[in-house]
Amino acid sequence: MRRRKPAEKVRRKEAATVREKVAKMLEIPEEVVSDRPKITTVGRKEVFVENYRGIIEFTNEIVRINSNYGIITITGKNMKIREITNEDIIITGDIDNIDYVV
Amino acid sequence: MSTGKSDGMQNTTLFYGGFMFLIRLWHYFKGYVIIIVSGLSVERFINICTRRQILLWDIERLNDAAVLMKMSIRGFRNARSAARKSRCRVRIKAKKGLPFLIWKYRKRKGFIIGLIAFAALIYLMTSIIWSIEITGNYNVETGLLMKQINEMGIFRGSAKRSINPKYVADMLMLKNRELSWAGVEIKGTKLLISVREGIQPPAMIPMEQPCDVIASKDGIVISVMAKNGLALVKEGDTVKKGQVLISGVLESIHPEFGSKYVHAMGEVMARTWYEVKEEVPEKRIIRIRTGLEWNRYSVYFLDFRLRLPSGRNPFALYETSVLDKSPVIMNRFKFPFGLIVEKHHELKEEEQALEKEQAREFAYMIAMNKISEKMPREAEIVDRQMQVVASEGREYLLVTVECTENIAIQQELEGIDGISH
Repeated sequence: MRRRKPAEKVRRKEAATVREKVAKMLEIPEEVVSDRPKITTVGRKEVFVENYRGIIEFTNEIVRINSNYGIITITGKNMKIREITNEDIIITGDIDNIDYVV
Repeated sequence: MSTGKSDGMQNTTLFYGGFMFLIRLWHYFKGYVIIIVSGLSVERFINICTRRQILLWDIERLNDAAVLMKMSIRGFRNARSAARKSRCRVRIKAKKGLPFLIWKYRKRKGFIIGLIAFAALIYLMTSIIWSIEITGNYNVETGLLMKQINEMGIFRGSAKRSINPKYVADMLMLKNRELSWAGVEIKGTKLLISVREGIQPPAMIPMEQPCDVIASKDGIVISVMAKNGLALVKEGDTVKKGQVLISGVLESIHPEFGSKYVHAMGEVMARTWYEVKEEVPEKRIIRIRTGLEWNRYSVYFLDFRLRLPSGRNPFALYETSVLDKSPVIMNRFKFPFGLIVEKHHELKEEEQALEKEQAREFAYMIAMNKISEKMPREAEIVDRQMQVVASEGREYLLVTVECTENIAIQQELEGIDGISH
């Protein structure tokens, strides 16, 4: 991840927010309140992204997903969205690369 | 399904694991549409849909301007405005799932009637009592209990709902003094009636009727407890059957006052003996299965039974076991029709020479069985004795059982109508 600050948009620092601090104090699992994206991959066939904000681009070769901490770019072949809900998105296909673009 | 060949589908089951199938089933039941969304910003359409809680799945890019996806029926109704907002064109490619199937077959009345009739029939057949089983009765006849049950309006074919098990149990208890407990249970399509019989009280003589207490059998008196009347025997006395134990006639010391007649009651415990002489066998005949079997099949509906032609029974000596193969749902609901298989097992008789020990044991068992038939159930065995007697070249086993039991029974006094005071 590059540590460059874009001039037009101030990216949120990945520091603990007030919410997260409170959650930690109350011993609530962080994922519940956090707005940080969580990406899980299984082999090269599946990517599971939680806490995303929306999809920007979707083709067979590239999927770009917006999150609070930048754009997640997934490249590969034959990619499909197996399921998409408000909170999470499951992408399947032959995944080559998962990248954060700020 | 044209999208079915996607390899990702087959390989990926991690996030849902075994639930994947359930989710598919759920989608199928709720119904879904396969749509092609075309436009410059299909991503925007997807985003709007997800934000509106519309579930999308199996999204696949077809070309630069078109995307294939699946969407629930409910979602599809809300997706119209999303399409307008994102300037996309939505075209339905296929409609899948149960709601569409039902819609498709809505005009096929026979099909629907058949479906409803089937469900109704299953429901009807399982809501009826198809068999009544009575267990636990020894002295009370099954036929009598069945008749009483029928009088309560319960037959084979009665609706299960109309039966109140508690009421039936109570009624059986009221109608049969011999029963100490009755339980009625509906198990599937079977009405299970289990009863317990108590120890029978002796025939009661009304309290105002004067009576004696006499001995029901020979014995030696152990204890006398006269609740009413005059005890004529005491501990250690030998009594004969029919002898008066407790008299209901109270003689006055002044003869001029005459006698007083009472309703004698009491308990006379006595030692009694039961004796059985049983021949000790030298050999016994046992029957064993040869392993050959022959089956007779019959089908039945209610009480109508039709034997299927299956030839003649080839065995001279056989035993039969009957198997009822009627359809049973969930181990509970049995239907009143089915197949009965009578298995005939061929038997052969074999003589088995018995060793002395074994033979005596065998004779002892038979003798004890005979004795316990003679003995009242409440009698308590105090002692058992065995004696081997030989006569005319044969051996006999003499088994004597000593018991304690109540030998008191009441007997009406002749020629007296009531208790005089």
